[in-house]
Amino acid sequence: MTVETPTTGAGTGFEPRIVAFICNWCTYAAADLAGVSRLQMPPNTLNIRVMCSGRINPMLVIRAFSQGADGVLVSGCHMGDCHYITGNYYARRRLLTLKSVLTGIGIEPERFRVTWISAAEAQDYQRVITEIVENVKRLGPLTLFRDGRVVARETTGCAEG
Amino acid sequence: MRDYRSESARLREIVSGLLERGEVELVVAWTEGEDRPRTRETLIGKGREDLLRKVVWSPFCTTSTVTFLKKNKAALAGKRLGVVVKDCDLQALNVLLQEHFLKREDLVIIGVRCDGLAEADLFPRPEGAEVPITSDGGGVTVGKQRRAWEDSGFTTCLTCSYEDMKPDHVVGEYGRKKGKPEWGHLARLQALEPGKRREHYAALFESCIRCYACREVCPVCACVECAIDPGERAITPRTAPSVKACAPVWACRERSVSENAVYLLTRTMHMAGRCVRCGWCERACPVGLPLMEILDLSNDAVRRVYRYEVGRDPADPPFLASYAETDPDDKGAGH
Repeated sequence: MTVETPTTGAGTGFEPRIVAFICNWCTYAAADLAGVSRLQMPPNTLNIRVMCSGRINPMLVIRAFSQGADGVLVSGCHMGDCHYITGNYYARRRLLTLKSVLTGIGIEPERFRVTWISAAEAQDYQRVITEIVENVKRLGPLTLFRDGRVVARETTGCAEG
Repeated sequence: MRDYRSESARLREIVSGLLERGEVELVVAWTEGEDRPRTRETLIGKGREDLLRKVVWSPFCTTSTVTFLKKNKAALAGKRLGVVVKDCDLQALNVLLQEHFLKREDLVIIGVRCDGLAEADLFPRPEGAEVPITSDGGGVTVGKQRRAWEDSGFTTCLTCSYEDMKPDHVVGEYGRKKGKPEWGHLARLQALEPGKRREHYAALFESCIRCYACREVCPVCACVECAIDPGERAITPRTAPSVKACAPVWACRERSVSENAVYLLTRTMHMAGRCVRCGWCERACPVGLPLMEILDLSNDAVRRVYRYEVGRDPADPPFLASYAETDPDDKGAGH
């Protein structure tokens, strides 16, 4: 999986690529509501719908970063509102442990956000997306994993990737 | 002052008693050969007086009997086992018991009270098995050779705080005050700005040769099939798409910062709440990478933020398979 650079965007400046894992029951519905309400937000996110934030394996986030994402957002239901009762509680512990590891190796905390947005909170969704895109735009591209890998992959063709 | 020769005699009594009474079929213990004081883990059955004679406990029992159990899980399945464990081994064993990797009722746990470990290479070879091995609060003595704990080769033991866990049998008494977990190295790294930290860790990721020695030597890295390097699974041109879909390749075998980072970060996450900080991954690394610098990032969060005690009790839930309503939330940009 390689994350495509958004083709739309303002001017020639850096346009970050944000991967957003959003839960089917709350945040996806919020994103939907934001869309039908015509709330304006940057088009830099690649939304991936999952059934629950508890489905998010830390490896998915690590993989997204290593494959070229400049920022990752995981968003689910508020605590206590999980469609599967406790999925987001498990997700919170797991993902915030991951966040301290990623922050520790020097990935700025703004690049990886974990939020809880309910189906009615379209404006919160708009705010979070705008925030993360603005922050990552300010920070610039994530260079940690850009080690000639993209070139290597294209020339040698990693059979397993 | 601890005398490891007499503690070894006591350990031999316990082991032979367990085998004689038929409480266990096999015992995993350290034995000493001609290259003493070096030891190795050995599987001892009933009637093996030759092996039983060589059973020892000393600061040179550096290897993990739990790694031995992990590696030989298939061969030992369903057998009643006795296992001799140091404090860090017992922690690792508890982690595996929490995850139902082993059954508590299959095990008789013989705990040795450990004051720290020492590298056999740093000591001259003693002549004969009677040369005394002793230790006290300050260091280890083999015959006439004495070394302080600080330069006996095992720095992780200086910050070991595990004690007074409840094995079935206990050998020895602590002769030294246990240390405190120390995060100074981490604090020094974290004081750097993110860009410098990225450079530091990128250099670490870049040097990894992906030999997986850290995984092999780790007492708790015990998955039947490793997510990163699935050894059992061969994908051929004839493999059905449905099978491939169930077998995602998280990191390809290419040696690059990004792929190595996926391996090392994943390992760090898989170790969250499981790493007992025995330091064996660092010792096994052929490139000499400071792997604890990355593992401690999750260790620090687990122990300081979540106040989770790793491997304290076999009945505790594993760290990532439990939650608390009071767990911290993402504080956004300022986390």
